[in-house]
Amino acid sequence: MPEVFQFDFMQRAFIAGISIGLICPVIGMFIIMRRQSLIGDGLGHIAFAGVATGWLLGIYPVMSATIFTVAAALGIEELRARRPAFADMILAIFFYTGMALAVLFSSMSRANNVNLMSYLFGSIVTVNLLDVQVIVGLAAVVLLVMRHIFKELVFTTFDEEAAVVSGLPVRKINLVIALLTALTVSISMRIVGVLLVAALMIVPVAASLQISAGFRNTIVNAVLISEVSVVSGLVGSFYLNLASGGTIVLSAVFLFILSFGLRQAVLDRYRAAK
Amino acid sequence: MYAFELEDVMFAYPNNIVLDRLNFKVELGDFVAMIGPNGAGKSTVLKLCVGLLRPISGQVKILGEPVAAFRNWQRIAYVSQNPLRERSFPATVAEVVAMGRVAALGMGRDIRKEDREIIRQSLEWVGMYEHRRDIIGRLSGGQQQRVMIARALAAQAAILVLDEPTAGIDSAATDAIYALLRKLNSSLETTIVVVSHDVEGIAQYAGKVIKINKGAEYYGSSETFRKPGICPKNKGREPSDAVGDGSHA
Ligand SMILES: Nc1ncnc2c1ncn2[C@@H]1O[C@H](COP(=O)(O)OP(=O)(O)O)[C@@H](O)[C@H]1O
Ligand SMILES: [Mg+2]
Repeated sequence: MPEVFQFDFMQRAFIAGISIGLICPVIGMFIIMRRQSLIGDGLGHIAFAGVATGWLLGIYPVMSATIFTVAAALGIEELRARRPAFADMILAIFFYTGMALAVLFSSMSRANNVNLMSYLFGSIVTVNLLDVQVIVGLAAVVLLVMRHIFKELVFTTFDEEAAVVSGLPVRKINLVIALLTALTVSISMRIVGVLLVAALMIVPVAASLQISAGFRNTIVNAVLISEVSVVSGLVGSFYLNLASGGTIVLSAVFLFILSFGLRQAVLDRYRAAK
Repeated sequence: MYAFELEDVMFAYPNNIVLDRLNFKVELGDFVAMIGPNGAGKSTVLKLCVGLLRPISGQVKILGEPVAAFRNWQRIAYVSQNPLRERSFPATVAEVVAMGRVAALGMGRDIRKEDREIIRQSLEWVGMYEHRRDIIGRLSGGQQQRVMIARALAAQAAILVLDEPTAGIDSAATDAIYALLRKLNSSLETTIVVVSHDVEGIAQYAGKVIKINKGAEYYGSSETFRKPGICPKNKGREPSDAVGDGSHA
């Protein structure tokens, strides 16, 4: 067995990483199609405020981050539904509030900087057993709920008005996807870090969109791309001793460039043949 | 039995009264073309009919029930003015038509064999079966509208409400869509309410015409509407005379 798989902390990192590699692009697919790509970043910053608060109060940071992101996601969704014209602005205000709280609390808590950095950039050495249990458990919940409402979610995302008229509970579906996004952000930050949480939702989907045909096909390929990025990123992080968030996201970006080039080559050939 | 009944319906956006005491009824089995100038309130009327908007005063009934109490939404399919908001949406034609089955199936249930059969038939009906694997955003406007109609067919809706399905589509494709709607109306008895800017064209296919301008300026058979002096402007008619329930024109 290669060295990288022998350490307990690496095994934990792989289990946690593969779990989030599965759910991030599935959620990402829907937020991209809803033109809410920035929500992941916004919630990431709010999660960081949650982490800092957890430290201040001596609460398990993943839990306080989850409470913060869930509350913010429900708030954002509620305001978006009431004032759709201001959706972007509302998101930005939540975003800044989260960041300001994070700055405030982290300066108060005087938490050791190494630990804070591990949440900002993602770290594989600090992922403990409790983290893994929470990540796997919540990822399973996200996946099961997604599976249950998948076709309703696709319809609502594609054509919200037609979905309402056909009798679907669109308000509830929108709240559920907001909730699932919040959970995904708060469990992913251990591995990829709050600064790059959104990237793992967006980049694999962007890559997949270049080379896929059909909604299901796009999601399946996005998950494959995401998992390849997570595994190669974790291996890179281990051998090069770099923050895992960076290596994972750069792997995903590399795959995006590859698929973009591939698509461009196909388009060029098609045009040349015409 | 009426598909839709609008009684003294008022609707306004802030500082903008869009509809003032609108009255009309659509009978089950009707094929109604809704016309009127830009900004006249046609899209608003459709949204009131399908419950996306609620009137400020007056009453909207669907299949005899007040809209707030109506539960039988599977009987209605609605195609909005720009149904493909996100052109990069990667769904295939078959995936879009499958959305028509979603409400009937219920949460947590997958598409079954019989649903696939319904989807296939719906696509054949609109002549889009060969395109089932194509990406919706890469089709022409006319083909996209036919897919939207197939989605409504897959829902097995008895009432089909379409907002300008022929906007931005050339005249041959427009005629094909109208012919398709007429076939749907005559052979499946689907009730159709369709908004169109192409007054002359749609009047040849629809059974009834309603002209909207805050209220209903004309409502009656499309034959009467096409008589000289009425089309395109119904000169000399008091709106109040013209507004009937449309059934005895
Ligand atoms: N969301 C909205 N907010 C404010 N005014 C609106 C809105 N939608 C439509 N309107 C206004 O209501 C009137 C009727 O619009 P609409 O029903 O879309 O007309 P039509 O479909 O006949 O072109 C127009 O004056 C339009 O500007
Ligand atoms: Mg309109």
